[in-house]
Amino acid sequence: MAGKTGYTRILRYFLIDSCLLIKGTEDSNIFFNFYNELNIKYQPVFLIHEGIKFEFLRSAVSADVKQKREELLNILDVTVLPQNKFDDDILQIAQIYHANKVQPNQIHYIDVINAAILNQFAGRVHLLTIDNNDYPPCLFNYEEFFSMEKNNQRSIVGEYIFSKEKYHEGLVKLAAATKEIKK
Amino acid sequence: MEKNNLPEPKKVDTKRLKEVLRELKHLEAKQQEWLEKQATQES
Repeated sequence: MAGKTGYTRILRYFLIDSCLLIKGTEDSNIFFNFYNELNIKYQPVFLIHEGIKFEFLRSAVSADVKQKREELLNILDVTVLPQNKFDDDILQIAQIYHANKVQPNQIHYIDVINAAILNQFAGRVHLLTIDNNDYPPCLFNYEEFFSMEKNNQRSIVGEYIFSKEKYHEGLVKLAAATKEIKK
Repeated sequence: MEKNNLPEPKKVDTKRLKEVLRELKHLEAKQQEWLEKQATQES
């Protein structure tokens, strides 16, 4: 699709982590500038899953805040994926994390569902997050970093893709660990 | 939406997006003020 400047923008699907949405509610200018930056490069289509929607809406004490947060999702035309459709491999993903030195209490259900969605649509869906440590290099490759800055504070938005290759290596590692532990 | 299908792109109304973000920031600030007031009263 050609933009105003005549060049073609790439269609790209982004799974948005809850931390980024919450950041958007804290500072409208920063989030708007970030959206514009994405929009110049890509024709962005946004996705979340039900757990992300829950995390985004749960802290809205006021009905007005809840309604406005929902409106933000609508304006951005965010598609909400049903999380139970991606349950098949969440446990294996969590086990691969742990086999790669991530402590179990640092493995969050919501993040693992994000990983399972990225696995399902490997290469087609990219993750955007501020919590960069939640997506370790044992399964994810980073594509790009975007910087959001205000008052000497900087948030780094990481864009990641799921590595099928690393996932299969992880499964092999799990099978080897099972054998060794059995000895 | 089916498991393997992804949605078609739609045009985002950036003018409205800016407005919603601004309105949201204002409402969030008011909510935060109320939460802080509650916390002060309870302590």
